[in-house]
Amino acid sequence: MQQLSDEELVARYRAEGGPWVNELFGRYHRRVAIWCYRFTGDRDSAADLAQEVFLRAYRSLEAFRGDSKFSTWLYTIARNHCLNEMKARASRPEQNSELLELEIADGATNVLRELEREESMQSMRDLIAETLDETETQVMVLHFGEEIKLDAITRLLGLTNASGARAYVVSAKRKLAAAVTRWNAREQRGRR
Amino acid sequence: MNAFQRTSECLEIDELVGVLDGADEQHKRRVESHIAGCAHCRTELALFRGFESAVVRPEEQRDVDAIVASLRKRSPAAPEPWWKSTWWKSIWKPRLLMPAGLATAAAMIAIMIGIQHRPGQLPISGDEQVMRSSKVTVVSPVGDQTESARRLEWRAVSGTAGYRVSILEVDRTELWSTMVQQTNASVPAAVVQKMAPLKTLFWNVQALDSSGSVIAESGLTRFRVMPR
Repeated sequence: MQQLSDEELVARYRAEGGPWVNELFGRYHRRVAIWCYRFTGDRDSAADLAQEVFLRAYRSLEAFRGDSKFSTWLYTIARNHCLNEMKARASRPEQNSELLELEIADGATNVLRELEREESMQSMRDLIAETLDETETQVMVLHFGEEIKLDAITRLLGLTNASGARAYVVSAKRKLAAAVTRWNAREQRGRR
Repeated sequence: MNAFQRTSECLEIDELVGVLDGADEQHKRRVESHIAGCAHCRTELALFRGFESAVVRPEEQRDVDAIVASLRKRSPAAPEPWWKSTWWKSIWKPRLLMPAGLATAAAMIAIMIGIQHRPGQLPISGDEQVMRSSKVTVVSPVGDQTESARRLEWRAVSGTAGYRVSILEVDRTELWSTMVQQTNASVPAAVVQKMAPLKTLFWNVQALDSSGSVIAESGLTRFRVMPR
């Protein structure tokens, strides 16, 4: 059984049912456990979340067509389920203040609003690519693009500095604010 | 919309991962050219690599081991008993419990009165029956068997996405369970060995819909293997 590929195990399970699916899912217990733990930071809720991921996978197994590898398919389920669950928790009144706090902490310059207001989103993306290092980029994408909480991002990316993802947001916003100012000045010179 | 969010040009994870899996050169060039300028897709790829590598950091080790142990116990193919499941625990919140408790108490009284007026109808007979709105009809094994029950069989229920089958001891301890799509299940050899002569066992089959809800159930069916 251990020599069979994931996709062969899916085929056996469809034909015969039974233990094949346990072997298949058992191969991914650790990966999903790590993933969910990094999202929640808490053993019990991560165990529940991981269980839900496997239940979703189990119920959708008939829909797995083998167009992608099983590991990619399961990752997509785990990723989407954890993101949705975290967004649902963040929308609860007691947990919704993190983004707002960061906006206030940043002072008068609201860099993100500046980025949203610009007509050319592609120019902004170029600016991000030129200005931010890879970790800053990932932190900003996960927090402002995917709305993942900072402590979860710290765990997901394995950041070991004292204030974790928060420090990267602060440095990224400073860099972007300076870059946007320079960019605006260039644009104004160009219009004259 | 901000510049960090996914756009319509962003690639699906399958396409991004194709680069890692050794896709053809043309696909590889297209993906690499996109991710070079796309912060979102680069981040997605980094997350996927983190998932695939499955490296546990020392500070995570204990908790991850505990989660893995809990997953082994709660395999979807052998779901945990309903009274331990997460959704059920949430019902026991006081604000939900109070009205539900009153309604349940009223319903229980009505049912008890109904049962009192049905002399002779016992909840457990030779083949234990459970009152259900829809019932799964079992085929075999039922009652005394001349051979070990290596296979459980029942009639199909329409609208079913899968069946959960279980074998239980007389004290209702679950001996084995599995999930199947077809209307029969093979019993593993290790479980068959536990079917000692004259030892009474029960089995039960639940028909589940695509959301995992029970839409029909057989009720406990008694069987035992007779000595040769």
